Amino acid sequence: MLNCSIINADSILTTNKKKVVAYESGMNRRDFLKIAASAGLLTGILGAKPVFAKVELGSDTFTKHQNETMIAVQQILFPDDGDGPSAIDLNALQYLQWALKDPDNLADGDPTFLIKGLVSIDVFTQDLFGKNFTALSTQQQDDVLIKVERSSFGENWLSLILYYLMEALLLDPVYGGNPNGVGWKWLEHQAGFPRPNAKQTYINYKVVGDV
Amino acid sequence: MFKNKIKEYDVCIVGSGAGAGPVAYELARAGYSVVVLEKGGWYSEDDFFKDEQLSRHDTFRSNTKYERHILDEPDGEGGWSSSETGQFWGGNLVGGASNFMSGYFHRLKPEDFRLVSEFGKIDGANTVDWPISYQDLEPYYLKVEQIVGVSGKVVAHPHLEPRSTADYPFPPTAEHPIASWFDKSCKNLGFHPLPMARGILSKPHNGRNSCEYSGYCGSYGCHSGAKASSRAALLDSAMKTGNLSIIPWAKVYQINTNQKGNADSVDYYDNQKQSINVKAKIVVVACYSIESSRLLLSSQTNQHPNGIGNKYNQIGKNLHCCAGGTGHGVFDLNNFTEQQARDLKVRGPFFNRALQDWYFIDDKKTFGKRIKGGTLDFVFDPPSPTAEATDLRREDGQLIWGTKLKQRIKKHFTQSRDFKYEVFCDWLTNDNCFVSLDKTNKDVWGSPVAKVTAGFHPHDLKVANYLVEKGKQVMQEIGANEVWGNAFSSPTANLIAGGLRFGKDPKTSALDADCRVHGTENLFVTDGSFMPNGGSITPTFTIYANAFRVADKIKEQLS
Repeated sequence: MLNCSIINADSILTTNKKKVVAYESGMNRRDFLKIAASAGLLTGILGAKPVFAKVELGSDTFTKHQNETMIAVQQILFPDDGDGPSAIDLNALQYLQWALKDPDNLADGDPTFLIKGLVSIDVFTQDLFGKNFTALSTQQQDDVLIKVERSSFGENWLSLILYYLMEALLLDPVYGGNPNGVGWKWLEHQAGFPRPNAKQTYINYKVVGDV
Repeated sequence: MFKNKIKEYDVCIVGSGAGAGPVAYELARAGYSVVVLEKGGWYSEDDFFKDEQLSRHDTFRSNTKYERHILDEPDGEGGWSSSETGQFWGGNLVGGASNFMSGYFHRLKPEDFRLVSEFGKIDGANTVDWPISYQDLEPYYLKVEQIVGVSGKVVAHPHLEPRSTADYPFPPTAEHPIASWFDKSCKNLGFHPLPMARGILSKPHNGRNSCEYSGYCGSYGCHSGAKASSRAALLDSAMKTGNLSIIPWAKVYQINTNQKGNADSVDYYDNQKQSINVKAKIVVVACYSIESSRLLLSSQTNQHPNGIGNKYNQIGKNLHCCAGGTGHGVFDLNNFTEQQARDLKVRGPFFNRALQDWYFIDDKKTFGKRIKGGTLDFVFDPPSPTAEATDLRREDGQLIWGTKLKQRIKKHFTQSRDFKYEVFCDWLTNDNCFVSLDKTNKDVWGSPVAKVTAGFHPHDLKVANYLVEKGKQVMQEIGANEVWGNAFSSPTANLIAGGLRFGKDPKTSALDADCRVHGTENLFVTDGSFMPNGGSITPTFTIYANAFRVADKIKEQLS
């Protein structure tokens, strides 16, 4: 059942998807993420067993195996190809784990959505190859992601992983990605000043309405 | 924190942005006791970092889990769509959204005050002439230039508005090398390039530093104090009088009226959700067009059962957004000499150019008659590198990754530069663009949230498209490899005004010519709500000027 949800596009989201594109300015990321999260919810309703439901969001959002799968996916998406940092060089997994504890990202259901994909992808590769995603060759992994992308759920899932990867590439190193500005250097990006410090990141500001 | 322990003031101001600052400044300096109630926090230059995460999250903004807007807009297929949105929270902190503006400070033109007389009625639009003229506001534009601080250089051009002084009090801010390319290209095309006046200090003034040129301006809080936010330019200075109290985290939810129907106090919730009552002789509402209408509508009193001043159902009506569009010119650095490429890559100084050749369009072949047009501002987008990179993950709608994605990102950041222009024209007021109270949706404090119905007039798109094409022409002439632009009909997230327009007739306006709510003697509205039309520019400069004007009226009334 799970492999169905990751491969079959669900046409219900077609109208929403138009809006995804229109809102992709970064300033409106919440609107985008809401749609991405609802995609996860929808496929859940369509019959997938909630295998992930008991995952505890402790110090690590993912299990050890899920961490390894996520790194493997990130390395395909942003490989070590001799030009510029790879996902590993960017601390992309560590950054992702930090970002998934952000209350807004939690509220958007991102951890659940990402875990659902991590679980599904192994079900899918077991069907095809009799192996987990991490046991496949780089070429096979890339081919699998191409297939994953064909479903609306899979497309949103990859899109969300890329979204956090781009943050690991270009956000201030204070957030855990882009160590020593390795992404900035590669892209000749000029940071502003003053830069945030560990005590004053966006997470440290009180929000209107909080008591 | 508060020197003043009294709960009774001469003037109580709801909100602290561009409409509030001048009133607080003028009245506190005149010796009156003033209190500013601000829903958000109170930050200083030291709290503003050039961290794009600050502007992408709910830092300095209301969070939609606590309060939101309902947006009804045309769905493009003849119906309406309805959604919850947080897009209209432009800045909920002391100084309001002016903390994050770019500060393009154009004055209105005399004709903007009398569009009907100049250009005639347009079917389906509610345009009216203003109850005051440009000459009434001119001294206050000057006051803003001098007190709030406007830098620029006046040059002659066909639609230059009359001025009582020869030039701006501050010289222009530093200019990006591309500004001179722009000037040359415009002259080739027979257009009149204008240096753009900015609400940004090019020299220190009144305890504020001049611009640091970090290249992170619009949508970022200013670290130097150069940006003319209401907080940096006015409230900080007014605090020194000892007559002003600013109360942050104070969410006003009710204005109370006395037997005569005049405002006598306001109620707010503090950050412990305690309700506190503040009495004042004069109450001023200035908490952004949508929210000011909402507060009047939800303040239902014995004397004003349908909301204060709403006897003729004018509260919330004739809201307008900024009509227009945007366009881009992308420059492939490989097509330029090394020196030119270096020039294009400079980040820090401003583009600072505008075109107003078509503020009035005299193209009878296209439009049949002379019509009101608009402004083109040539600008840099605020740096938002992760958003740019995130956009690049889709090519023709398809996700890309691997080396293909990496090379695409690298090329974008190191081999090209994107320059933008923004088109501003009037969003014609109409019966389908207004603020009302949502019937079911409430905020965390229990008040109904505002519903924004954002219908637009098709005329806006015709004008916007005309101007977008002019911008493309300029970008091509400068040497952009790729040029594109769009007019839009969706409401802008910021720059919304109207909803409580001023006028002489209470049956067609919400405020009188002094911006007093009709049917009251002491309740004023000084944000952008008063504007019957927004002009074809960003309205902040005009909001500042009008708030200084109304401050004089309030002083007269108190004396």
